[in-house]
Amino acid sequence: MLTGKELIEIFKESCEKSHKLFIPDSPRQESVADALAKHYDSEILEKAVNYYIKKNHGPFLIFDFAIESRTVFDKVKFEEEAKNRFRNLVKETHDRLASDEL
Amino acid sequence: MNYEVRLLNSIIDTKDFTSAVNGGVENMFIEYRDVWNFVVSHYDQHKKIPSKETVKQHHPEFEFFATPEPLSYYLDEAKKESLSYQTRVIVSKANSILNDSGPKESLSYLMESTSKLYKYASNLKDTDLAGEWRDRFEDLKQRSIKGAGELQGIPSGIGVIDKSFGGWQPGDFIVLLGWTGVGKSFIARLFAVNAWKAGYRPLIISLEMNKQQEGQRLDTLLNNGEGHFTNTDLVRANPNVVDGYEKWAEETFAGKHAIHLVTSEGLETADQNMVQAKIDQYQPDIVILDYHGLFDDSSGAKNETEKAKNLSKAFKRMAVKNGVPIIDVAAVTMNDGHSERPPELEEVAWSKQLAYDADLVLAIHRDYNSDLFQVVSRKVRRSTHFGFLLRWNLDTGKWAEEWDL
Repeated sequence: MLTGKELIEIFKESCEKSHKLFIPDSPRQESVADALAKHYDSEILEKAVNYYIKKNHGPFLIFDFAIESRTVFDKVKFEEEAKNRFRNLVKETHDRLASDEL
Repeated sequence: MNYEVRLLNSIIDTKDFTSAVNGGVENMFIEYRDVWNFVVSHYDQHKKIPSKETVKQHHPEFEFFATPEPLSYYLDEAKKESLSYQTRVIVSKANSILNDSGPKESLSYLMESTSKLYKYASNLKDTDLAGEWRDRFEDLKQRSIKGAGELQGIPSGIGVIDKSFGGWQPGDFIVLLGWTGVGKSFIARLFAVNAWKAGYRPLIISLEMNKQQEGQRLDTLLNNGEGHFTNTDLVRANPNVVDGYEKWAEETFAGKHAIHLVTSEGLETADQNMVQAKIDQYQPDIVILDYHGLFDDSSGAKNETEKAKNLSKAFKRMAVKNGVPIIDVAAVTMNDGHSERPPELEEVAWSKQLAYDADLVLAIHRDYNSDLFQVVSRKVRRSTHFGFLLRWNLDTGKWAEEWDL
């Protein structure tokens, strides 16, 4: 499970990779990041941070992300589920073809 | 005697309102429409055809005659005469438009009017499924002679489509969905090329690319990575491949059946009527329409969604009427950039209409700069859902099915 501290690092790294400005917001960001990490599934949350930074221009505060987190999280979760459904269907189709069930 | 009078007499004599309406009488009355309207309103109110006396009371000038033949005889006769009359009117008006406005306007009027008339002339085919079981038995017997495991339709060239969906069959309406720029048109051309290789005649109506681009793309696909040339060689006119191209093209195309291509160069309008006219002209085995959003709607849609719905409905009917599979390419857009996966059906603005009309919806996706195409069925009418991958070098044309994502 992600910690608030790790989430802040992920946020910073993602901003750096995209050449976008991250604005430190201590001491508020620590408690906000803790709440986010505690509330959401870690794997999706990390992807949601990257998606949020990719889709917006910045500059970025963790607080701004937290306000929109529900929408971003749901969107990323939907995308992940759709990708998994596709993977499973491809596997299922391949198995059906191999066993000549079609 | 006017055919309308004979038909009205027969309807009043037989009192068979249902057969008359099912036979399409609504479109046959011109001069005696007031009498027919009276019969309809009387039937609506009293659930019976009015007697001769009642008709006479309301329309004293209407004459009565004996009608010794069954109603179907008078219906057929009236339909022929009505069609002949309407055809004469259309030809005469087209001639006036030709003189007043020119050939393009006249042709446009002719296409629209004849298409409407054709729709009226070919009634929806009603069938008693219980009574006609023997027809289905004969059909099954004929098809079984081909072998139970053998492909029934035109091959797509993709194993899973041919095996589970049975290839492209007459009347199929197939929609290829994808975000912009993921390679939907490539897949549509692949289906055209594979049909052609199997001996079928494709018709490609391309409103997106010109003749030269289409030719280069089809050549690359037919080349299928065999090393004669690449798409880049053709686009950049590489002098080193010219002789090899000539040899390859002669071997590939000489004495073979046609691949019909219609591009938007020189086309004034590209609507349902134009598609029907091209089907009539070339009698293809399979039709590719690229792409949905670029077609015009002759039925006067007020916005893009309505246009997409009207076209979907029209293309499905056209596939059934002409007994030909139609593959329609459609782009899906998103306000905030598209997702990195094949689109869902619900992400199309006209998804409900699409769900009604299509026999197969294939959603396609390819990550940026990737050569791996993700293809998944979003609606399948005659099999279970499926998904597959195509590893495809678009420059050499070489492709293969793949299963590891």
